[in-house]
Amino acid sequence: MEIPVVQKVLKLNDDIALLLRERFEQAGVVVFNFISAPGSGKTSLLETTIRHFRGRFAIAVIEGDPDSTLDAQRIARHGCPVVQIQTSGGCHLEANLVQRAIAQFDLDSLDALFIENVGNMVCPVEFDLGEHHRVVLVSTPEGSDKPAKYPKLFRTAGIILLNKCDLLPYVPFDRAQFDTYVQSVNPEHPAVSITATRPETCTAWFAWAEAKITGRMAVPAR
Amino acid sequence: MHELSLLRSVLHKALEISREHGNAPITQITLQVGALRLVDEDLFQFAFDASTPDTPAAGATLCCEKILARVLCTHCESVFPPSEPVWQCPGCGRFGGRVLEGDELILKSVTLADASAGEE
Ligand SMILES: Nc1nc2c(ncn2[C@@H]2O[C@H](COP(=O)(O)OP(=O)(O)O)[C@@H](O)[C@H]2O)c(=O)[nH]1
Ligand SMILES: [Mg+2]
Ligand SMILES: [Zn+2]
Repeated sequence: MEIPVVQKVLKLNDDIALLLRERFEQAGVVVFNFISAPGSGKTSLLETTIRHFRGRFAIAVIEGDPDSTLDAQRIARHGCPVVQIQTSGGCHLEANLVQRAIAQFDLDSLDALFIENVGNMVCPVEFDLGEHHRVVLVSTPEGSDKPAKYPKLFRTAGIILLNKCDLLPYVPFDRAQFDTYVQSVNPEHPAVSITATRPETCTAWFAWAEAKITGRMAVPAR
Repeated sequence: MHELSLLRSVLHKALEISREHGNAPITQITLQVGALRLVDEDLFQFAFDASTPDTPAAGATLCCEKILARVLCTHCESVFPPSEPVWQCPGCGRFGGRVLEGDELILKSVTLADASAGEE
């Protein structure tokens, strides 16, 4: 006997993500989901960005890692509220984990929430966390063919950051090929070059993030 | 290996249906999987086989029906089957497009053994 069901496999995650997005909107918090391979520089960029916006925006961070609280310690050093989610080996964050984590913040007092996903370019792509923007990082030592190998990740990005540009003289990286791939996979969002450890190279990223944060504070959207 | 979490949700629903029918053994679970979904069918099957022993789903077949992708070019309104990684419209040559089909990940049906007891 075949019993029809017709239900989205990700329904539970998507339902929670929808609730989260409503909650963020009520609180006026803009939420960014940072996705990249391990070691591309997500935590470094968060540190630089928190420092840059200190005193102007109230920011909190959720750190997702398979294990350890090292990244959360790095963030906490900047006096920023942070919750570490340990996925115990899990390769991505899910909406219910974020739901549990935000219970520890006073959302209404925040302007922005940065979620650092587990380092992985496949699994996090499929899980909506209720975020408003996906920030995708790739670093120059990883090679210029990443957008062609992980097109769906790059396609869903609201901004694409090419990190570790300070290493360009030392690593084989074909910038023209990279830009061509990015252009063909995500025509609306050209890659922005940064060196996450040097704030003076991150101005375009800061400007983009600031526009998103202030835009949301003025107009509750969606 | 996010297939494991996807599978958990599929099994949860399938076992619920089995329970509603007096724990009838499950013989098949049918999914619809869009070509644009990042799901590895072998991993899915592997996760299934590893999670089902000692449940009414033990020995069931996991059947994944593929749904081909179709994309709409937002410039010239051509509809075309995209090929990864680059979606290029055959009508106007532009890149990108809006997904019409291919993003599905749906639990379509659960098949129970006919000899199941305790149902209407
Ligand atoms: N040379 C260079 N190293 C960087 C840059 N950004 C991050 N790193 C280094 O790369 C390593 C991994 O960075 P991390 O922020 O932990 O990456 P995550 O795993 O994505 O969070 C660390 O040793 C950083 O110091 C950069 O722009 N240039
Ligand atoms: Mg990190
Ligand atoms: Zn076209």
